[in-house]
Amino acid sequence: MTTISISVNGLERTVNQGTTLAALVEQLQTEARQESDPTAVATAVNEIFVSRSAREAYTLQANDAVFTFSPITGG
Amino acid sequence: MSFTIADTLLSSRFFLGTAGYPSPKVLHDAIAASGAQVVTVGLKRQLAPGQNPLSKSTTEGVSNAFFQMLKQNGAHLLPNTAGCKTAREAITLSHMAREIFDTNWIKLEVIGDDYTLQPDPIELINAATQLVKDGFEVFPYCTDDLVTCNRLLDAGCRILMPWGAPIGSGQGLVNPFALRTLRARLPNVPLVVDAGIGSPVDAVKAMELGFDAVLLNSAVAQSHDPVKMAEAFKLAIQSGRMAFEAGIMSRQDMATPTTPVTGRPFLL
Repeated sequence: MTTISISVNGLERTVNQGTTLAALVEQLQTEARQESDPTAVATAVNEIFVSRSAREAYTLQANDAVFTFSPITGG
Repeated sequence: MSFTIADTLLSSRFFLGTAGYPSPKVLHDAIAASGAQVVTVGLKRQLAPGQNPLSKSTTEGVSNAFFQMLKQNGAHLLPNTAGCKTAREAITLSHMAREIFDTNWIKLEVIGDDYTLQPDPIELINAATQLVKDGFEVFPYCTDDLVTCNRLLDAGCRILMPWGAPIGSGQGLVNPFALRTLRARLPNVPLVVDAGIGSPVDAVKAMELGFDAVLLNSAVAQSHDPVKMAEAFKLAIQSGRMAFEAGIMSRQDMATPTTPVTGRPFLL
């Protein structure tokens, strides 16, 4: 299977071609031993917001820079 | 004491930040003691997988579930765009915050200087313009510059949050003249002093100037007893507001006798 290189929160990563953003989020949560929960993070690709509902339709492209954000305390 | 901000009726004029508390319990109790109905929250880029748990928070143990619990208890979450330096970053982060926290309120921070964390007025106005178009209720963290504030209003902001002093500095109101000018020139705009408050005295002063509310974080979180300090600020903000509404006497150099005696007691 062909793979492509992307970055996730600044770290390089290889994923199978055709991987969706939704699948990547699920993978990340599994690796972090979290329950699969698409509402726990917000996502952006190449600094553009990708909404929860648009993740399934977003197929990752080579060199995409994916960012995932989660809630924290703040002032 | 109640007032309306962003079409929302609030009885508390105290907006409280949630960062830097010793524990989630202290944070929870401090919010309760403050009576605050608006609490600020943030978003953080997750650390690389394998390096750290995804839900790592600055206050260990505080998760989205905690914030949703606050929301269910009636608090309004005000997410910020801390760390952003460009309008583009702030716009993207605002959209993420709207999705995660399920609110269109955003405390818009676009920083232009690392040392003072002073807002960048150009990027701030650009971001505010776009976010208002995108349906956000923008609470811009801005300086006390009147013209910048007017431009933010032109952009569609309905609230302004000028600094009292740099974030986390605890210096109080370093330029009361500028704040007084803002209040005088913008009598109908909800104004919130955001950042720089150190002691409850500073909050009293902000309220006495006629500001509508005060937003602070470090002054409570960094005190030895945040729960007690939260209550101290609650009382100070109430007190300052009541004093403003009651009308403070004007100052004069000369003494004026208070007790209505008839001259000297034994001198006819």
